[in-house]
Amino acid sequence: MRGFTKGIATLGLLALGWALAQPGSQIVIGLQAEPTTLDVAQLSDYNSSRTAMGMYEGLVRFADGSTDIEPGLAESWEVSDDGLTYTFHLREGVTFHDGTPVNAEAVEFSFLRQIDPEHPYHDTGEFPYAEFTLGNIETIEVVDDMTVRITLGETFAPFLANLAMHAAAIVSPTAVMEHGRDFSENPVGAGPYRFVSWRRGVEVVLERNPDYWRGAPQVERLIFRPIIEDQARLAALEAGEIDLAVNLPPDDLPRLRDDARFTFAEQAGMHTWYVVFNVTKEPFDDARVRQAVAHAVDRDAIVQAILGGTGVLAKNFLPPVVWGYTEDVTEYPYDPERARELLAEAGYPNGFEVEFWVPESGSGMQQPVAMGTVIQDFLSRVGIRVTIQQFEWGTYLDRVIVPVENAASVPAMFEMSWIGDNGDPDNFLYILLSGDQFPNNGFNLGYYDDDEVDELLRRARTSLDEAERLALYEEAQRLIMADLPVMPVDHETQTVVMRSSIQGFVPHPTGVFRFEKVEVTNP
Amino acid sequence: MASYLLRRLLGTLPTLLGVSVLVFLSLHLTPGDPAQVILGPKATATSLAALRSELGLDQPIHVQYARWMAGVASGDWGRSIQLKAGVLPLVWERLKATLILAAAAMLIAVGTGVTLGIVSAVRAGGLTDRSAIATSLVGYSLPPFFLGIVLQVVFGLRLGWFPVTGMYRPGGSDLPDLLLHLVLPAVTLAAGIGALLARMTRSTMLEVLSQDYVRTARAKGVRPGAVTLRHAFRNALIPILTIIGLQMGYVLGGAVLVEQVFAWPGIGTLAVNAILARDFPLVQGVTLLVAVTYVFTNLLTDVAYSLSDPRITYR
Repeated sequence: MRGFTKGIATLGLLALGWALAQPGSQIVIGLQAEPTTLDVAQLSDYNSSRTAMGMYEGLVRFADGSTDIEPGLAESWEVSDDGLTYTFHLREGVTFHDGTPVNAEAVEFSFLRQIDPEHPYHDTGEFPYAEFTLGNIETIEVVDDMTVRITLGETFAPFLANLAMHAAAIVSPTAVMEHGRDFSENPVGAGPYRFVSWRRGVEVVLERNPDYWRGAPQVERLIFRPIIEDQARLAALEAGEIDLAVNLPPDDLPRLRDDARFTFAEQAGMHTWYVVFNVTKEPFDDARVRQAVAHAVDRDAIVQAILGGTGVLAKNFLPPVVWGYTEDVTEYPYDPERARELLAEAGYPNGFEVEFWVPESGSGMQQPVAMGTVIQDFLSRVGIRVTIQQFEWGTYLDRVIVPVENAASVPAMFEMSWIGDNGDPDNFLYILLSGDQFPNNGFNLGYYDDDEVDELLRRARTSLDEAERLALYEEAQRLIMADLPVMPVDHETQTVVMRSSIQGFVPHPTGVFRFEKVEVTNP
Repeated sequence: MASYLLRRLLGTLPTLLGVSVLVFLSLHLTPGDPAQVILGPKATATSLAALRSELGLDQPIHVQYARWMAGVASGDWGRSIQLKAGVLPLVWERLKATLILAAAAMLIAVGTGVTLGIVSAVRAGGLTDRSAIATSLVGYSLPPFFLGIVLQVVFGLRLGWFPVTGMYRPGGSDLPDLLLHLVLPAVTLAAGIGALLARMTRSTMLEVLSQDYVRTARAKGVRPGAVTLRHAFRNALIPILTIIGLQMGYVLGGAVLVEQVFAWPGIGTLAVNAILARDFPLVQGVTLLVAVTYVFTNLLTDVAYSLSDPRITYR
């Protein structure tokens, strides 16, 4: 009898153990590649930021589904009249995942670690976004435990938007001091999820932060798995080994749409895929030739046929999700006849020969080779004889990001793409097309230099008057699209496919994933 | 034997040194600046210069090489630029996954291939033989990535018997789970080698089986099974071992392809990404460790010769 009772008790314990060991709600996310780091200040690719960003929060953040700014770890802030001084009041009682308080010193530490070469923890990483995000900061002052004052070197309108970017997230100074460079694999922030484990090449596991100041998330665990091959990621999704994935093969999307097991979430990205004209080179120093190219290429057809609807036609260089976007710009419909006329006017009735560089792949570069080949074909129909040169991405960047002194070594035409960082038009128009932004200051790779555009963009980035900025950017877009220093082709759409049991997932224009409001039904 | 092993081990040193020089040179002569790749298009000139000097890329190439070799000798293989962690643990972790896959594939290939070959040879010309030859032809002709996708669709998605990606279920790490995940990729990788082994074993066995001493053994009344295994197979073993040894290199290379199809966390994807990112320390580490593995499997093959054939001794 005693044995029997013991047996029952053992069984009961076993059952209890089994029940406890059952995973609670969890979502397994299929990434395109292994994260390179989980240190928020070192993020520079989607796979890392999609994994890491749930662990962190900054003073302010982008609102759900948009790039509007809303309070984060800072409850409120004041900006001085000259736009140079920002005073932030931190939220009381918020702690990092290691239990240490989020205070003014942590803010100072997080920023100075990146931008001050003398900072004792500056050597704990490479900070690719530090200069871009925080470079305008002149001083940071800890006013009291919960107040921090930041002074800029010059007025910079998108500064608050920059503070919502990943590199401006606040990290636990205690954790950085403890782990040094290995903070990269021992991340501690104050976000809705906290770090559990990282098995290289296998998975990163996060669990919900019960003390998250906005309230603990519903989903208990997030597991991020790198699955590099699109086809393998698709198979994993269909076999139920992952619950959510992006960048599945475009050809399979229609089939998945008809499958009740899956739902879709789509979001036009802050992204533009474009062709750069090197305007220091003949014949692209003539706007008519650039316009002729745009008329000669049926971009709408390319987006449909090659990108399979994973992007939308770019009517303007600026993506529609960035504020200030206007469609009141010169359009370039497919019109080979008009293209030939423009070429003739420019003195090239029989076309010309030109070299066109394309990368094999690259961040934001959708189907670069196929796109290049079709563009080549369209141009040949109006007499422009294109020779394509193909490069591996690392080599490519090396060859096209070149100071203006060596502009001759850059081809007349090449492909490029840009993924926006902070939702501000400055982040597209100024960086990519201002005469102040030739490499390596910025990313104006075709050396476009127009005094009028430059002036508009300069004024817009220093004005603190929203209405004025809007007017300036609209005017700049009109001038740019009339002059056409680049040929925008498409804006990529983020297409997230997930199990139907996942409710409330909304992709963010910045490309990061947010799970704190997501629920899983019938896990 | 011991002195032979010692000499062989010393003999690998020049090979490995040569590999290290080749890898180092080819990497540093490839266009593409690691600093630019790491910091991305948004980097400034100052941060690029700072990173180059931090990585030691502004030093003359022989200085960089000497520093690296000194590190390797002392167990410090450097730090991955892209993955921001020590090279040796990174590479070792991933190499283990590849070796597990390769070993499983070799076991399956040798098990099925050799068995199939022996059976074919014994039943030469019969139905069993002809179907075995046909099967091995198919196995040998199918490219691994194609076979992998077929197995995924049939046994993973349709029948649901085996998982289709990864090494463990999310969050898991137990052995039964690993074995379950191992089946499809290992079979995929094994197919080509198994088929080759089957054909090699068959032809070698046929040759041996026609020898006089086999006829003598049969005439003496030795049981057919014993004739096949003890008398014939033992003598057919040397060429088969040679094939197995040669295939070790193929397995390591083939694993890279199969890893992609099944998202197996092995060395292949690590190496490809490292090359694309110009992650010099990591590429060097991967290549060197793979070279070491290759050299050692060759050594093991040689040792296996002497174990299987008492006429071969090493001094």
